[in-house]
Amino acid sequence: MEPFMMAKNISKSFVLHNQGGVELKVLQGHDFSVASGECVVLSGSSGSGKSSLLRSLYGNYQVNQGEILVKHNDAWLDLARAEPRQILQLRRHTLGWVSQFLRVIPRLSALDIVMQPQLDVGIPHQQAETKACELLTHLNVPEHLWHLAPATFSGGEQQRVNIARGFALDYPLLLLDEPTASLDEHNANQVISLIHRAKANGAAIVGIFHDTWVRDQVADRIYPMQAAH
Amino acid sequence: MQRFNQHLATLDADLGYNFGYLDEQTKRMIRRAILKGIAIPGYQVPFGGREMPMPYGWGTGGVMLSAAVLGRDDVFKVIDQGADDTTNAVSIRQFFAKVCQIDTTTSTDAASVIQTRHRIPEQALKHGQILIYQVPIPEPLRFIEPRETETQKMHALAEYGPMQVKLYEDIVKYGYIATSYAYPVMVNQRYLMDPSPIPKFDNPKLNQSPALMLFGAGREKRIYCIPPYTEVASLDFADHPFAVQQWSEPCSLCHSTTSFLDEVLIDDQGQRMFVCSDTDYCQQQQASKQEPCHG
Amino acid sequence: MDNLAYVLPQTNPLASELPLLQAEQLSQWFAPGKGFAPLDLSLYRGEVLAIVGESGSGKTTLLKALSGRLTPQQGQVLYRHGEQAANLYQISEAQRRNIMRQDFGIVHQHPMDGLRPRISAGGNIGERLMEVGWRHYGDIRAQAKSWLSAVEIDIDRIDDLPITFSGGMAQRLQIARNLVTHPKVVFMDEPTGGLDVSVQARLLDLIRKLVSELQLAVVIVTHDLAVARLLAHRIMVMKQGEVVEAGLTDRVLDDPQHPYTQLLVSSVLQQ
Repeated sequence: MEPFMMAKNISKSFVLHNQGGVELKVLQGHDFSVASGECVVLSGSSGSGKSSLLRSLYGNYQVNQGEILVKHNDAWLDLARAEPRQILQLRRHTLGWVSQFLRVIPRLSALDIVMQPQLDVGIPHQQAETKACELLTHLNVPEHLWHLAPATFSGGEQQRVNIARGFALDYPLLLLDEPTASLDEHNANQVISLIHRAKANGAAIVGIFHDTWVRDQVADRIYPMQAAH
Repeated sequence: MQRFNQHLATLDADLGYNFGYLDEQTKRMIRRAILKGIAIPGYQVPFGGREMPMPYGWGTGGVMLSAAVLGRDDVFKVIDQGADDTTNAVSIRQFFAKVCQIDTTTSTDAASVIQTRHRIPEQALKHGQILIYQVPIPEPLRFIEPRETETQKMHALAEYGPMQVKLYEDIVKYGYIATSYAYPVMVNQRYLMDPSPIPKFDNPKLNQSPALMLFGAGREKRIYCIPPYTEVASLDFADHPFAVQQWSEPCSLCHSTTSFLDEVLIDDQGQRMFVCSDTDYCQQQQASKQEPCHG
Repeated sequence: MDNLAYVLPQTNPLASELPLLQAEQLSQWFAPGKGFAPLDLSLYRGEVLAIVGESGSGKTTLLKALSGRLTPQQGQVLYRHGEQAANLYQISEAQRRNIMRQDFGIVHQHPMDGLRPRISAGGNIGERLMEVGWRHYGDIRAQAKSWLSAVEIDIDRIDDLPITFSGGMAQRLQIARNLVTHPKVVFMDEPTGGLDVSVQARLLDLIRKLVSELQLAVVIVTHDLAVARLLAHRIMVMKQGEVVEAGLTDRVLDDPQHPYTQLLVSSVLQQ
């Protein structure tokens, strides 16, 4: 199967300049790829670098070595060396990110938050709103909350708003950082169905899932990880 | 030089002054500034002002211009807010009668040079006449932008938006453009100019005037000019066009309905009447109306 | 599979777009440690760049040089409009002021530095319109009203003087005054600097909304990393006049490389 994204020999370490220059190696020599319609789950114990790898794939962490090639507009873009605005464009159209933590923007309503990524790529307001409403309903966010800013929502509600935002666009490549953590079984199943739907639409998915039962339902392949030394 | 010496010889020895009070070099310098001003209509030309035998604010700028342009054949008229008979007008007229020994008049028609404070005569000016204005503050942008360096730049680049803001604020406060004197004008579609504190009633007379107009600011030592037949437009808005003052009654003395009227209190009970501010015009109107009766 | 990288060309799809604003080897030193060292910088349409660093790091000087208000000792600033690129410090002052008036907006930290305190709110907004030739009172007023609502000021206050406004309102008025002629690039110097925290959030949200709706390119100077995170696509970290780190906002803040950036990030109180 033709990969949609390839990470080649990537390594990452943190140098803590203000703490005596300690170097923490978090990733070492990872080769990794994911194809369209495939879901790869990163697996390993706490501290094995799952989250760092996922963040590196999003361009949020800067790898020290290696290439991260993503297919974008029929060309390969190397995330490890791309210009910031290339990464931004990639994120706008190609690369989606869903985490459990919502970064609340003051005064923006839940509905607006979910609609934003669609509006950013020029989807008409009406269409974006329909999609947003559908996702919020699917994830059981009570309708009376839609027009409120999520700052006052419960943790679970904020998490589901953020998941809705992540799935609002059909990104060809989706990175999932424990999207089901701390959700009840019903809502976790709703998220799983969204993942299945994205896969069926041809999305390449890389994720971290804490719960084994969720992982078993979505994973096509497991990428095992161990702490770097 | 020979002409200059002859000229000196003709001076009244008893008088002790050069013709026109100022020395010839100063007059020459002022005339140069005037020529530059005429070449760039509306542009403020700096010049080296001299001490005049009167305080600033009493028309030193106008007096210096008059001194520089008056010749032996000129007939001189001075008005102060239209009147020939106020202290200021009388003393300036007498001053030049003394230091130039030229003819003076109160008739607008007969005068070749008219020095004015805050009015333009009602009677249309003629080609060949010179109107000299006394200017207290030459810079129209002063109240919007106090920095002289900045206003000069604004003139240089024709950035006159802020002046329009002042008129906008007028409409905000009063519902119409309430600026009624020193109403800003654009000269020759280029320079924004303060026409001195003439009533805006007189602004239309600036446009395409056959007479040469010279403006002198003595304290600030600036001269600016409008050559004959120059376009002078009053600023306004499309939906608040420029308009002049109007009165509900005619002049009580000459019954003119087309002149600028002053409101005069006539007793302690608050009775008032409206009379022409231009005394020469008013008298002529009265005379012309009486003539048929006498005839 | 490995060959695929060669099958598809590694091209930059954005390469054809030229930056709106471009600084090349730009530098200005007032004294050792006062000013900024030669730097290159590009700003594209719709992009928000935050310049962060402590006081005295040269941020504000850089902003002035970028926005046409300070002739630099070295280097050049190119502004592209349409097909043409204007070299800000080689064109005539008239041309430069024209660009600054029509295409640039400047939001000062203290609102009164950018407002006429004794001119009504409507007049403050309308001034730029009148500068570019608007001569219809009704139209100017209608524009002023629509911009007052855009920055969430009650339109009944259109005739009030800015000196009667609160700090947050005055700052929003300053923003409206700048945006009324639809500038392409807006330069902001600590726009939330002097405001209460509650007022800051509202203003930031407003700026965020306007920037995205109007596709503005913005250079914002701030020492507040939260402001940068909320508004900026990219960050440039300055220390003593040198750019020590630059890149994608979330990358710089979540994975800071330079010791100084690490110090800045670790100094922010966790919420």
